[in-house]
Amino acid sequence: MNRVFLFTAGAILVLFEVFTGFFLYTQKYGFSVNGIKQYIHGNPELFIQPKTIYGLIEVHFPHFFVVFLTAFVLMHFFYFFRLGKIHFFTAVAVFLLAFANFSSVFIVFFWKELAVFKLISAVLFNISFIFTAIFLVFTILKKHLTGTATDKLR
Amino acid sequence: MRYAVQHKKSSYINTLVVLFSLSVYLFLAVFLVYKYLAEEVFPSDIYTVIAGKPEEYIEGLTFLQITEKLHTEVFLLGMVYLTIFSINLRVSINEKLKNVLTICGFLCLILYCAGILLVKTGIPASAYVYTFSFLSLVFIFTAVNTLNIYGFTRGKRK
Repeated sequence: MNRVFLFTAGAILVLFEVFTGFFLYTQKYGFSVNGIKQYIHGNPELFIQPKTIYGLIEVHFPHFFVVFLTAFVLMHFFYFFRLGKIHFFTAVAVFLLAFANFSSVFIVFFWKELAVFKLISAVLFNISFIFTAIFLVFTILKKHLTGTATDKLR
Repeated sequence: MRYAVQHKKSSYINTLVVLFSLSVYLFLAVFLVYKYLAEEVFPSDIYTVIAGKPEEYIEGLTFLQITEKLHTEVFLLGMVYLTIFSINLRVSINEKLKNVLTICGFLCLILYCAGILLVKTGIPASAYVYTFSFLSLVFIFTAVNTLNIYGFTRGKRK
């Protein structure tokens, strides 16, 4: 019971991080290609200062460690359940999308036209994380209700 | 020979757990001091920080600032929660006590977030919820950490 509760708590905490992160993203970048361009390259008409490479690195460098650590912690919970192809696919997707999301800021810094890449990667990254957390909770519930999803979780 | 290798491995993991647990004590102490210096421990202080005090020209935090704060703090506390309670799974103590501590720790973490958000919505009593949950959280983390050290140094582990 204890382990099951700990896994569920982990999934809920990750969901909380994803939702607050997405809220902060929409507040800073907005939910449009123009918003992303304005946030990074500035807009003199709206008195928005352009970001420097130092400013972008300052915000994003902790995320390069923290997000992958969170992804690892979340994905390793599946190790205690019966694994299938979907787990490998989900793990690869989460890591690749996280990398795409955080590196896209620097791509947009150098190529303004690729702002749409940041928008798409951010949306897909958040969806992949939410899917993984919900999938984990679903797997735990399935195990708990039918007792068939695991051979290691006791 | 096999016994000697296993004994060495066991001593190694004990040392790692003890060193890690000591660093968690340090983290909790520094976090508590940081909160105290930022005037975010006692109910009246946290209410002033979040809701502001117009008569003293103190501006409260915006919803964006609060979300940023929660985003960082919940990550840190969440990781500490998952790590120390995962270690605690390996300690041989009463299962009911383990369950109670795990559930209470998580509830305190949720109440900690809810307390801050409710203060912003203008419910003064929620500042007490915040203070109580924060201090309980630190207390539970310290207790579980101590149990981990006790379990691993006394050989009471699975």
